[in-house]
This record gives sequence, C-alpha cells and structure tokens, in this order.
Amino acid sequence: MTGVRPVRKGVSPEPDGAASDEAIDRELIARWLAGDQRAATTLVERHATALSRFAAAMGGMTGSDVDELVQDTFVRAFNSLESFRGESSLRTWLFTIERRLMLDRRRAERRRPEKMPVAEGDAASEYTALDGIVADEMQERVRVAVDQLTALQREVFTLRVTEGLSYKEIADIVGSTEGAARVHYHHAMRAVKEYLGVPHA
Amino acid sequence: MRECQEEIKDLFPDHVTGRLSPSDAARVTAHVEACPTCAAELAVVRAAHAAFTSFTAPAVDIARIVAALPTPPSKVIELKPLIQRRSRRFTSWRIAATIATIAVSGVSIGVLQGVLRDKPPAVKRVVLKPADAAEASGLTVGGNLNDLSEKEMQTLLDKLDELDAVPSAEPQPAVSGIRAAAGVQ
Repeated sequence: MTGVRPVRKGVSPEPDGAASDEAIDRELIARWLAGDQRAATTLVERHATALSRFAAAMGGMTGSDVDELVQDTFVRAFNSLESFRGESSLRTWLFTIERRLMLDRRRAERRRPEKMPVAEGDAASEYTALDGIVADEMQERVRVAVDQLTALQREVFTLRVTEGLSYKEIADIVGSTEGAARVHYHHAMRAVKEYLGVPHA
Repeated sequence: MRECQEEIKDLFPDHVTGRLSPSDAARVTAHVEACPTCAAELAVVRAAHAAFTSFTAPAVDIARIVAALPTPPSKVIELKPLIQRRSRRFTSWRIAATIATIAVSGVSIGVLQGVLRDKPPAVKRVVLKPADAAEASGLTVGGNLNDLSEKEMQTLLDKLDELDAVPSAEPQPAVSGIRAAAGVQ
C-alpha cells in the first residue's frame, strides 16, 4: 500500500483531490482487509461508473455485457486486493483489469465458430458512443469522431481526456510505454480534429 | 510559440479535468488566448471531456457486485495474533507454574530441614532377638548353620519346603475349571 504515484510534468503533485481520492481508496482497502464489508460497497460505488463508462466508450457491448464486465472486474480486483501495492491508483489498476477482461472477451468472440443471430432488441441495446446523445452538437460530433479511431487510440484518448490519466498511467493500463501512449494520443487528436475540420499546426 | 505547443497541449486534458496547479492553469489560459490553434484544440478536448462524462453509462447493479465479492481475508489476519496470544498465555502459565512449584518446594525443604534440626526423628528401633525370630517364623535357627546337627538341619529344610510358594502344577484353564466345578465334561 505504500507506493509513490509518479508526478506528472506540469501537473501539481496533489491536484484537486486526486491524491486525497487515492488516500480514501487506501483507507477503504485497509478497512475491507480488516473485515469491514461496507468498505467494499463504498469502493464499488466510487469506481463502478467510471468502469462502466470506459467499457461503453469502447463500444460493442450491451448494457448487461457492461454490467457483467464491471462485476467481473471488481471480483478479480478484490481477489487480489491484498497484493495491491498502491504503485498506481486503484482506479488505474481497475482499468487495467477491465481492459484485460475486455480483450479476453473479444478474443473469445473471435474464436467462437458461429455467432448467434442478433435480435433487433439486442442491437438497439448495444452501447456505442452515439448512445446517451448529448445536446451539444460539438460533443456529438466528437463522439462520432472518437468512434472512427482504432481501438488502441480510442482507449488512450478516452482515458486521457475523460479520466485525466497521465501517459504513464495509460501506458500501464494498455501495456505500452509512456512515449507510445503520448504518440497514440496525438495521433488520435489529429484524427479527431481532421474529422471535425479543426485546423492543426 | 510553436516550440512550446506540444508541452502546452499535453496539459489540456489535465486542465479540463482540473488536475493542474493554479500556476500551470494560468499558463495554459494565457497561451490559448494568444494561440488560435491551441485554443481550437482545447475546445476539442473540452467537448470530448464533456461528451464522455455527460454520457449516461450503462447502469450497474452495485448490490449484486458487492454480493459477488470474496469475503475479506480478516479471519486469516485475526487468527495469527489470536494464536500468538494463546501461545504467550500458555507460556506465561507454564512459567508461573514452574516458579510456584520451585517456591513451594523450597519452602517445604526449608521447613522440613528446620523441623529435623529442632527434633531428631523418633525412630523406633526394633531389635529382634533370635528367640523372637524363631517364634515368628516357626524356625529355630542358631547363630551358625554349621552348629546345627543333622536332624536340626533336616527339620529346617522340611520347614523351608513347606514355605515354598511356587505351585507344583500349572493352573487349570478357567473354562475347564468352571466346567469341572459344574460337573460338565
């Protein structure tokens, strides 16, 4: 539990409660390890929405798929919570687990010999970036642009812009290097700007 | 201005998520006011952040997730000190019992020695006279066997034979003894 979170260049070491969020998580983990079941509920409540949002942003899953994925992520995390050293934030660690589970499921889907026919109701319930349409046209167009990105670019862009994670944290999640994560982000940003017709230098 | 653009642009996501220090936030603000290209990119980042954070993520069942979680490992953690406490307690009792035994033994020996020093033991010595011994055993033994006559020696041997406690025959099996007592072959 005694890890040091890497300090980002140009970013305050304790920006707006991010450090206190991690301290709260550490306290809750300690309480759960000591037998407090309510701490587990609080931890799930704190991170479930972010995990659900990230999974939905990646596309290709129904609401129940996302629900199941988030549950599996928490079960996997809690099973090895004793070994969590706190070298990254809990949320980063959860994203890492969730992403691996998503990749496993995609591989399993690809290996499946034949797909069941998709009913209309299922197709309608599938979450894509177009769901939950936002009022602002610019936001809607950004979401469509993000849908055009490669899976890796979409992951990096979403984690950077939505969750505000550092390139180091993103690299840990996607199993890459900090430099590679930065390149993926800038390529994604260029593609989004091109889609939107925004000039870039 | 172009040289600093990449560094400044890297701060935009931190800026919109409120993770920048006040001084860095002021630096970003000052830069985008003077740089339309960066201002356009910051607008895209803002729109993307707003789009994904205002996005209604699929609902997850918190209670179901919590119910599926493993039990906290507190039992394992608590067992260790419990065992240690028990062990320590047992050791303490053993030490206390040993000390108490030594103390009681020491006191007893001291008291006993004091008693012995004050009062010599009243040991009643019984000296049997040869005549008494002969009367008690039924044998008349002189001071020396060589002094016995032939007849006296034979009498002594006969008496000794009568005293032989070893049975001359093996005992009958219990069942056959019972049958014999009951008159059954």
